[in-house]
Amino acid sequence: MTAIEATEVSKRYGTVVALDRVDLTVPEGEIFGFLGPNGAGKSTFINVLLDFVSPSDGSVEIFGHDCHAEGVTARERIGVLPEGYSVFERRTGRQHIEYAIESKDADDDPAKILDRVGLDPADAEREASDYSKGMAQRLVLGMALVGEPDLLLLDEPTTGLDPNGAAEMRDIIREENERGATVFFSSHILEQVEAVCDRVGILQDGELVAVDTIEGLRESLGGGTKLVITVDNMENGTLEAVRGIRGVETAVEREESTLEVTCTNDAKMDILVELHDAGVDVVNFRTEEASLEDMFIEYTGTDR
Amino acid sequence: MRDAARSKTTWLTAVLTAVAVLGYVVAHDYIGEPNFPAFVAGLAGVVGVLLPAVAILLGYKSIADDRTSGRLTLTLSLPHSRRDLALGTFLGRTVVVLVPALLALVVAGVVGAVRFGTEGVLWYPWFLLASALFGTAFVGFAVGLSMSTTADRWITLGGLGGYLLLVTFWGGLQSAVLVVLHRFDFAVLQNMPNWALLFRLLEPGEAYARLVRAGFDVDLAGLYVAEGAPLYVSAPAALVLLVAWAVVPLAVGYRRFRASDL
Repeated sequence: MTAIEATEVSKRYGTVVALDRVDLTVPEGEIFGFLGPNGAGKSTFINVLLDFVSPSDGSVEIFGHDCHAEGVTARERIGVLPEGYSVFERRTGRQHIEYAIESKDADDDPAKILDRVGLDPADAEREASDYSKGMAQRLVLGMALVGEPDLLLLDEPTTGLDPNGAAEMRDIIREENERGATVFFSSHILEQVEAVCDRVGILQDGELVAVDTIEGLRESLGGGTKLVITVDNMENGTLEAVRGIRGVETAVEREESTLEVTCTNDAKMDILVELHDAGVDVVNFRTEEASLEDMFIEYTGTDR
Repeated sequence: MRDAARSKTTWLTAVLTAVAVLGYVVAHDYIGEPNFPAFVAGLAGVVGVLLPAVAILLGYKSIADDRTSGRLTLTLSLPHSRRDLALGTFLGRTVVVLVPALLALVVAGVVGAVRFGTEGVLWYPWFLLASALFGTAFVGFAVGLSMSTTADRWITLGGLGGYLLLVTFWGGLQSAVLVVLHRFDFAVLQNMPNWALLFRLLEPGEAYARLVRAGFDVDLAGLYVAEGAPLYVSAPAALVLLVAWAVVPLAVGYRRFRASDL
């Protein structure tokens, strides 16, 4: 059984293409990370899954139910942390959870759910419209957990959470996955995805440019290495010169006078030689294994 | 609906309704004939101006506000359909508009019967029903409007414009059109052709008056009960028109809402 099946999904707003023929299959039981810079179309895709947005072309199914034609049935089995929501006025946190329980015809204990997402009993009795962004995010995650959904759909779940909260979010994602749920979440922050995902998809300008496991993506870098080079001063054109070297995949200026270059192993010496020839003095350099972030930059061509 | 019941606006309009209706009970002593049908006719006049305002005020932003704020995102993430949401909103708003109004009218009716006599008092439930239908028509209009767009200015314009057109200016507009069509022969207003009667009855307030007239022999909607008035301005026709005022804007608004991206 596939949890999510997208076939040639496109969405156009006038002349702007928000999604361009996205084909994606997420099998049941997987943790899938949906990566891309802001504005790449991640939320549009999730909104198509939720039937908030009708695709211009193509179709999406959740557990075999068309998201548009059978939207309610499709949503019965999923828990959602959407983007751009706001909580209900004049209702406490606990009442929000109760509303989700009622809507999903579930029999969860609101107190347990609230405790699980880290809202204490005092917070639970306060009106949710007074919550901070992080607390609201926890609350809505709680609403998503109601009724042990088969699929969790989380749009930028760590928004508004501090590093601690983000770690707790990842724990919950893992626990839910161990229970048997499929998890689909979007993020523009790579560490979040790298830490928990079985597979990732990278979306750029509405196009799904890569879908693979993290190891797979790393391999496609060709056993890449990252070189962090500190130089005395950068000159115009140095970056371009480095990029022109055979074996160099990306070259980015991190801070004042620090270069990060991903490349094949063989290219390392060539880079140093090139810098020397260009009259740039290398103060220091070290190598690291390429991280997903470097791949991300390579795939999307964006420097964050 | 539970949300609507908690909002300050709801309570404010409920108090306003009660004050206006019960205030009329006192005022009728000074301005009306001391009999029950005349009292009901006066009350219908108050309802005719007040209830549309309350219904539009409580309904015209209902769905649009939830949509722009993002509360709708949360609701529709759960297994609810847009149709249920539209119907639920319509029913909820109808209840919060009608309950205070009908309570106030019941109290007014009892007090009125005590003070002005019981002539025709058995038809009072009919009057309540007609008032409820009249209010429902405007809730339908308002919620339909609220689903049709998210642009604040169109909603405000639609709400205000709807009230002015349907409550204030319809009669004048109908008269003006009629006079122009009859080459400024003003005598036509005294003796309207039958089609023009239907055109005037389309106004919810007129349809409401026609319904009230069906129960009370009062000086309301006399036009439609004149000898030889056609069937399509009878009380059943007025009933159908009021139902249409509730349903048609709601259906049009829902169609737009269903087809649009949130």
